[in-house]
Amino acid sequence: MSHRSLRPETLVLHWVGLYTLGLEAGTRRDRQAEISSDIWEHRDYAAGEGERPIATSISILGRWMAGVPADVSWRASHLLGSHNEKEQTMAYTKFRYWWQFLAALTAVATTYLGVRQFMTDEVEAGINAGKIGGLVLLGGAGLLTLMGLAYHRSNPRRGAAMVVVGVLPVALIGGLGLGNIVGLVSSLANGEGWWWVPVGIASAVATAAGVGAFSAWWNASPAAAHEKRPKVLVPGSLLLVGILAAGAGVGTGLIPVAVTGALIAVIGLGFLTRRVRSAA
Amino acid sequence: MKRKPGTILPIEEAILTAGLDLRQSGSSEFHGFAIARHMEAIGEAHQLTAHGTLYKALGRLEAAGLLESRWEEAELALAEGRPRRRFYRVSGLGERVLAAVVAKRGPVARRRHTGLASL
Repeated sequence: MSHRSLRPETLVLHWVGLYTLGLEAGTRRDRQAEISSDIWEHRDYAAGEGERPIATSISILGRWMAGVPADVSWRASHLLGSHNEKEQTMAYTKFRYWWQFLAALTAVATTYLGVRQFMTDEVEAGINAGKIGGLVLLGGAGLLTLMGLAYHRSNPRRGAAMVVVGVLPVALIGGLGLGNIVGLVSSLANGEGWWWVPVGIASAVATAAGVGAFSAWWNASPAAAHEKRPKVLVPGSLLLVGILAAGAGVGTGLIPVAVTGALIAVIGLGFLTRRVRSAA
Repeated sequence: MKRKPGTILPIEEAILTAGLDLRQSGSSEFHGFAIARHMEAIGEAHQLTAHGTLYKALGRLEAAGLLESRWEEAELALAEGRPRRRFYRVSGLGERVLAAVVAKRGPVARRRHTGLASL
């Protein structure tokens, strides 16, 4: 493989070829030519500004990934025959929350996985550093995702960034897609059945949510940053500490700790909801 | 969520604003990367707008009659050793719609847009 074929331009243009496959020849040709021109101008301008090629490559890759959801919906609108502006805009506004829905699912799954691995004795009995670490990592990631979703309403850019980080652990389980194939093949080859399928689905959902949140972060309008923002640090921390304490209490059988933790979590959630609502 | 008649999405507003700003500085036409760069330069975008988002929005604006486009002559691009550019320009309707949106939003938005025009 030549050095040139490893450039991000190749990846982007292959992607354009893929999502325009089967569309009307003129539409396909125009989109390919336009993206090809854009990337060429980008590279040319950056070189003129003395930007390092690696920085330009990262920027091109970022623009590509952040535009993937729009590419997919653009293709869908062409396939469904909604070529007019009104229909495309209706679709845009109707489905713009898809990644938030997937992120909420991921947050629940992540928190569940964190609590479950902490409480189960299937792999290792008792409480140990690994289990506590898993609870903190996964529970924290799940809560970060939920907080990001709440925060996204008042500060789209920062909220989306929190979601990107929050869904990462589950997205990485599937190796951002590739690992899912390897995991499934390996589990089948070892006679372990289809257990990887739910894990793969969760990971794929998390990856899709992550791409959507990344796109929302990348494309967020600067004007939105001036909107009123809720102060979520204290209530969010209360919620996090409460859930962790409740999980630890249940895991160790210390019911008073579990009840206190649950109460703290409920209070934190109440404050969080109130602040987000008042800011919205 | 339904889009109210006469309103435009934030990215569409950013494109029209940047397009008119370019016109004021002497470039009546712009290609995709140029508008993405200008939107970033004047603070209408945090960074260069993503490919998919940008070209989808340009397509919507053109379909709505707010932008017009043309492909440049292939010979010119060939002579300069680069791919052909698709040039866009803000139409009269696009200008009027943006002005109406800004006027509807109030004095803060008007100041923002007036400030852009003077860049």
